[in-house]
Amino acid sequence: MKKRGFLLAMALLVLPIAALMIFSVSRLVLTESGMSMQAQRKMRAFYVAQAGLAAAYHGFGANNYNAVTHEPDGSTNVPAGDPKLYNPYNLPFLTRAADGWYTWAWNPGDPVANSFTGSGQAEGYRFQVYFPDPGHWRIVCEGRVGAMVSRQEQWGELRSAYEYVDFDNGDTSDFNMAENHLVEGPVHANGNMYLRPWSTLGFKILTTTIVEPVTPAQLNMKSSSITAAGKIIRYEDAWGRQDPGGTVSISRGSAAGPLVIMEGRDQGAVGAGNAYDSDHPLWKDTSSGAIPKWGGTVSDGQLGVKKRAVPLRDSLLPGGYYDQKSALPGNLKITPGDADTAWMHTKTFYNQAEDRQVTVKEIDIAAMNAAGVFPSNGLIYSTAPLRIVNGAKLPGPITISSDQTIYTKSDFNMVDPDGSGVDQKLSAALVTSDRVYNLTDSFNDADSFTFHPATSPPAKAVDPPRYATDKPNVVEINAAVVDGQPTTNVRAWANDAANPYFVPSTYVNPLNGEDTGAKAVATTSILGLTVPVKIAYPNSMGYLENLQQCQVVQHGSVVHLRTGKMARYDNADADPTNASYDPLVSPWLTKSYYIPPYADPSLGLITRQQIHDPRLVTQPPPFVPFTSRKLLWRVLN
Amino acid sequence: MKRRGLSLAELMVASFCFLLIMFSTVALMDFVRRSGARARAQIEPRQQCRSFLGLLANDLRSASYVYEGFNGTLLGNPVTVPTAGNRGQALVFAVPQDETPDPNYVLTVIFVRNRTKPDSKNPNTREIVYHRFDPVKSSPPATPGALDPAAMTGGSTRLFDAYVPPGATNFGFDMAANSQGVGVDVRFQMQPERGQLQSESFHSYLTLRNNV
Repeated sequence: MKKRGFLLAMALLVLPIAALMIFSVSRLVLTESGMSMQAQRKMRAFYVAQAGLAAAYHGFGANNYNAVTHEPDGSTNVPAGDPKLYNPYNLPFLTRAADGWYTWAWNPGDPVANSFTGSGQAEGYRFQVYFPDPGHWRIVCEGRVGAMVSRQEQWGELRSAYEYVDFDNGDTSDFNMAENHLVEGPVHANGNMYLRPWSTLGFKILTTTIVEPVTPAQLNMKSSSITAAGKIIRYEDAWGRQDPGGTVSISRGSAAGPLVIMEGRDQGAVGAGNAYDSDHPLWKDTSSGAIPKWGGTVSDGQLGVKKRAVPLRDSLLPGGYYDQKSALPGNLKITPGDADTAWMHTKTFYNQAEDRQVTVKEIDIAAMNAAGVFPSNGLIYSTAPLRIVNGAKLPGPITISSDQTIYTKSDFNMVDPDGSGVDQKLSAALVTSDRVYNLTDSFNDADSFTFHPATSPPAKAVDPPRYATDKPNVVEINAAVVDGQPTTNVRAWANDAANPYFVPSTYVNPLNGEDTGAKAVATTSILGLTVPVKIAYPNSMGYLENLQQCQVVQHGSVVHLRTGKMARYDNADADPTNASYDPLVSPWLTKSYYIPPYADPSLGLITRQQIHDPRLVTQPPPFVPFTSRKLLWRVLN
Repeated sequence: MKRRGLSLAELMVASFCFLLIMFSTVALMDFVRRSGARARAQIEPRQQCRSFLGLLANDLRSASYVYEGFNGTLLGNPVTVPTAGNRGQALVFAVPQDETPDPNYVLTVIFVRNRTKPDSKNPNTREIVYHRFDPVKSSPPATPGALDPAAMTGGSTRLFDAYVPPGATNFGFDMAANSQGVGVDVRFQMQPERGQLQSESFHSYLTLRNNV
């Protein structure tokens, strides 16, 4: 048989086709696999960039949202030593590269536990922070896993916390504790805002020395902006105590606008869904809802109001933002070990509300000025509790900051401290991660150790006039007051299974059956009746005296950071005499130890007024705490 | 028998034929591959689900407000957005378009409806409607909740032919109790002309980034 190469031709034809098919299938598998791997790497890089962005913002908060890595052009480095340089206080794993970006990196060979993705590939992120224009920040972050990079940005805006007459980083109850309350200025809460005026007295039958207003409760808010990231609630307070009646009025359109009533019990709107608030079915209605009713003045989370972040607690702790700024020239730092001077004395008294002995550094502002040590750049930072005395006239703008309690005694930063008729009030702030208390001139350290039961209150405090035309018994506190306590700061009200001091129900007056709205922490028996010896309001004010003949006038801002670290419920770690003492915790209040200021409405006086001081914005005291709001996040590539 | 091997002419003809066949085969395979991919892209509900989730992830992460509890008619369809902590079959949210304190918002609505293309093999399956309205500003500024989704106009619609079977478990949004995140479930189920029933479920949890 003659062979003519048929098999060879067949082989030449079939083999390449088979090879081609194998090649195609292999390529398909490799492509699919490569795409899958690529997607996985992309996802990892995305989340590493997210982690970097979160770290950058966290550090930004510890810097009071007021520090940068680059100038507004986004490319010029802020040099080391510049006071505005972003300081990674609470991010010790960061290093700063020559281009000014902060970086974190993990490389093969480093401890596996430190790897973010556990992929075995080199990974890391870097970020920059700057203000393209004043009040407007931008963080750019690049996440990297292997060769894959994810670039993201976050924009946001800043506002001084002092732009508000009342700012709360949680649920606010500041409008629940006065029978007759006037608020002038912008208000914001990151949680719910409870608008339910009510007296914090409630014991008039038991103690005839306490005078309560007889007019219906009234809350007037004259403001251009009342916002809550949660709800605005009219029918009850944060502890479920129902609206007892009264009137809430809010200006329409602007602070100067006409007052428009927010209907509650006395207007025939009783309970949730009936009272005119966030739970009302028409609240979001575009023609009859909250926006048209108050001309845009009032809005809540349902309408899109967002939370505003406050500076982290770290910023007020030793080594943090305020501590580091106190080391700059012209500022001052005080520690518990500092020796007494002509202007600073160590004093001890008893805080009955906290049930603990307190040792403070008492700062005499007038003596400090006379000694030439008043801080020229206006910042005092203290790791010791402070009491400010003789502060009626300030030598200059000042911010007094601390991680401990701050007490003021008598007037602070008066409008007219000497009767000259000239407005001498300056910008001032008291900033603490703990509490601020206001004492009158008559507060006596020795007497403070004596406990006076609720049925037999201490003598009425007095605050004598400074000059002939000065009103007696008016305590004037003109400052931004920033504290760090939770909404409920009295342990009898902290409804927590771990709290053995929780008192389940409020005290009902046995003589008239009236619910006092307060809790009895300790009781005694008088003529067969159970009466309270110690009482507790859920949100006790910063007073320790019987203020029945005093009026406290405050112009400025109230800011509740809500970032304080609370002690154990037994307060053992808040007691300096205990081995477990932690100076950075705040004690729970064991009781309310004050009788609120009383101003007779029949004389045109009101029990509480909060008036915003625009000077805190136009000529702010140094080192203002900022609030931040995120505006836009996006992936750049 | 004398073996002469292949002549040069035979070799050249064989090589030419081989090359011709090879190029034809490559071209044919490429054509088949492209046609297959095109066909798959058109009908592959799996891919539709993935595209939908990818688009939603990007938009929802950038959103600053979700219209929880919205109940109304949008694009001629009844739309009910779940409230916090609940589940629903529609979502409406606002995405800021710029970094200013008074930004434009694009309201986006997502819901499912019966497929517009008739398919006797897959009756009652649904498609996903993804509509972005024209940008608007809120009044007062930065309160997107004050915008009424029912009053929005214009915009563009993208349809995802995802063969979503009936039932709340096959398509839904779980609103987080704190309103900061949304869980998304999508399931497709398609009976092709030939072959076995295809089905797959997807789940994703997305967090809004423009918040504290």
